Amino acid sequence: MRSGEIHVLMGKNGSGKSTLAMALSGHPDYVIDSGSCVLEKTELVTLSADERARAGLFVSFQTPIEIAGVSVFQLIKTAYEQKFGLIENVLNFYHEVEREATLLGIPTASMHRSIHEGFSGGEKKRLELLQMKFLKPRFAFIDEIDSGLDVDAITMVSQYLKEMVADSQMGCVIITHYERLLKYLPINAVHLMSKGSIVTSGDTSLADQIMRDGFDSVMKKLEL
Amino acid sequence: MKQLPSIQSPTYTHGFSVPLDYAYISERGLTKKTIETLSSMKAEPEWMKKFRLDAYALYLQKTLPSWGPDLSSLSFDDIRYYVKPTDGEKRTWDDVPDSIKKTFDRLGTPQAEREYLAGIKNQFDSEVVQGQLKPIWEEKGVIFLSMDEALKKHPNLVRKHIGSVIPSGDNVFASLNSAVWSGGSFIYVPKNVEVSLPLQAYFRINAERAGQFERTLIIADEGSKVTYIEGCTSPSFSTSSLHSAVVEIIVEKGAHVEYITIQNWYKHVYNLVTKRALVKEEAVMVWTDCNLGSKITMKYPSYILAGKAAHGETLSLAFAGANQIQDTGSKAIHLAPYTTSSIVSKSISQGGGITSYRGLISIGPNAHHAKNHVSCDALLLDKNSISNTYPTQRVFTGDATITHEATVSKIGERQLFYLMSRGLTASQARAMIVRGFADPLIKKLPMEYAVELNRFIDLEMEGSVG
Repeated sequence: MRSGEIHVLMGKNGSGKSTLAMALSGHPDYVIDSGSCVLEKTELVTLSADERARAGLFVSFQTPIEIAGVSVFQLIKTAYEQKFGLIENVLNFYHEVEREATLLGIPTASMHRSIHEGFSGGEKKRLELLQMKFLKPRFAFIDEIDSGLDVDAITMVSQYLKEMVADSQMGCVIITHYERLLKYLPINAVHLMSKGSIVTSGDTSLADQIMRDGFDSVMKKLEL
Repeated sequence: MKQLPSIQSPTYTHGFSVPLDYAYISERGLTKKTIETLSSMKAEPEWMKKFRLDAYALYLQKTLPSWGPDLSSLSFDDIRYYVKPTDGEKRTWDDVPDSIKKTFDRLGTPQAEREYLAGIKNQFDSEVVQGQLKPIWEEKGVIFLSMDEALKKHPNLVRKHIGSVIPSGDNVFASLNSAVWSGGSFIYVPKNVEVSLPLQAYFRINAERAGQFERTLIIADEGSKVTYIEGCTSPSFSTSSLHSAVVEIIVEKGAHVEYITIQNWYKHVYNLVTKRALVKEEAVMVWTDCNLGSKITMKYPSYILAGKAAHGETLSLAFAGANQIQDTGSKAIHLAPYTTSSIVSKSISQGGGITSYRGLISIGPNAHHAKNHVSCDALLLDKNSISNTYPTQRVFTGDATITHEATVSKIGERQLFYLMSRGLTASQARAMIVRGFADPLIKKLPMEYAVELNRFIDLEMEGSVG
C-alpha cells in the first residue's frame, strides 16, 4: 500500500478481518507464525505492540476497552509525549485537543472522563479517531469505523478522516460492512476477505457489487 | 551511635540516613527503668509518670493479637524505645542541627511549609525538632504544639483528654504507646474557627532499630474545622524498626476534622497504629489513609459516632509489594440515631504482597436510622499477590441500613495491551492503570501529596516490569 491511500477491507463475519487488525497491532493473544509486515522499512512483526505504535502504526479497535480513572486527555497527552517528547505548553495542547474533539462532535467535557467508560459505541469510535489524530500514524487500520454512528455522524467522521489522510499522507485500511462510508471517502481499492485470505481486490465497483448481491453471490461469480 | 549504612533501593527514594550525635539513646529493650528515665528527662509531672507506668503494667499483661498478620519476627527486646536527637524544639530551621535540617530538606518539607500550610511539626526519631504555627492562627486561639510541649503548657487539657478515646488498656500497642510515648502533635481548635490551610506533621525515623511512639491528640471544638496531614518515611536499614502511634481525636458538636496520612516507611518498619475519633452531634470525621510502605501495617482508623447525625468517612489506599503486608481497614461504631458512615477501601498488591481489608461496623441499639456503606476494591497485579476481606457487622437495631460491596480485579491484559497499542511502554501502561484505580483517592489529596503518590506508583511500576 502506498502512503495517502485508503483501502477498504470487506468480508463476512468471521472471515478474519478483525483477526488481521489484532495480529497487526501486536495483541499478545495473536501469534504471527510466518510472513512479514513492513511499514516504511520497519519490520513490525518482531516488535511489541508499543514499538509498533511508535513505529507509526495505529489500530482503531472495534470495541475498545474502558479504563477507569484514566482520562481521555491524560491518555492522549501521555501517548503523545511518549512518541514526540515532552509537551512544553500543556494548556495550548489541551486547547488543541478540545478543538479536534469539537470537530469530531465529542463534547469537550468528555476530555476529563475515563477513557471509553460509559461512552456509546459511536462515541468510542470518535475517541479512537481523536487519539489517532494526535499520534499522527504513518499507517492506520480502522476496524468498523461506522458501526454505532448515525448518518450525520458518518458524514462528519468520514470528512474528518478524509482530511486527515490528505494532510498527513498516511495509508489507511478501513474495515466496514456498509457502503455508506464509501460515498464520502476517496477509496483507492477494495479487498474481499474470506477464511483469512484476501480472495479478490478491485475498485469501488467491487464494494457496490457486494452490497447489491451479497458476499456469497459475488464469491460464487468469481468461482471462489 | 554506630549505624549500618542504609541499603539503596531503586524504588524507595527516602532510604538515606544521616549521622548525628544524639542527645540520648536508651538501651535496647523496655524496662520500668527506661520509662522512669524517659519521664524524668522530660521533667514530666508525677501524674504522667504514673500514667506511663500503669500503661506499662497493662502492656506486660497483654499478648500480641491472635488474629491478623504474624508478628512473631518482631523482636521487642531489640528496639530502642527512646531516641532523643537534640535538645528542645526549634522554631526556625536555622536553629536545627545541620544533618537534621538536611534530612528534611531532602524530603522537601521546609518548602512545603512556606507554601500551603497553616503550621508544621517535624519529628525526628523520638522528638519534634522543629515546628511553627502561622501567627494568624495563633491569634485566633489555635493551639498546635508537640505533645511534650502541650503537657508543659496546657497540662489540664492534656490530662483531661489523653486516653479518653483510646484507653491505655485498649490493645497491646496502645498500652505500649501509653507507656513510652514521645512527640506527636497536640491540636486545639477553638469554637467556630475554621483553619483553612492544613496543619502538617512529618515523622522521620533516622536511627537504626529506633522505635517511634508518637502520641497525637486533636480537639476540634464546636463548629470548628481543621485538616491535619502526616507523612512518614525512614532509612532503608536491613534491621527492623517499630512505629506504634496512638491518635485520639475529639470532634465536638458540628465540627469537622479531616486526617490525612501518607505512610511510606521503608519495608522493614512494623507499623502498628491505633487511631480513633469520638464524633459528637452533627460532627464529621474523615480519615484519608494511604499506606504505601512498611513491612507490616496494622491500622484500622475508627470513629465512635456518639452524637445524633454524626458522620464518619474513611477513604483508604493500601499498596503491598514483595514481603509487605498491609492489614488495614476501618471501624464505624454507631451509638446515636441518624449517624452515617462510609468506608471506601482500595488496595493494590504486587510481587506477592498481601493486602487485607479488616473492618467492623457496629450499630448500637440506640442508633436507629443509622446508615453505613462499605466498598472494597482490590487490584491484583500478578498471580502471586493476595487480597483478603474480613468484614464484621454487628447490628443491634431494627432499622439500620448497611451495605457492603467488594470487587477484586486483576490488572487486565486487555487494558495493558490497549495502552501499549497507543505507544505506551509496558511499565507506563501499568502505572497508568494503577493510577487510574487510585484516582478517586489521589483526587482528594493536596496537590503536593498527589504528585508524590503518582511518583510512587510510577517508581513501583518501573521496578515491577521485566
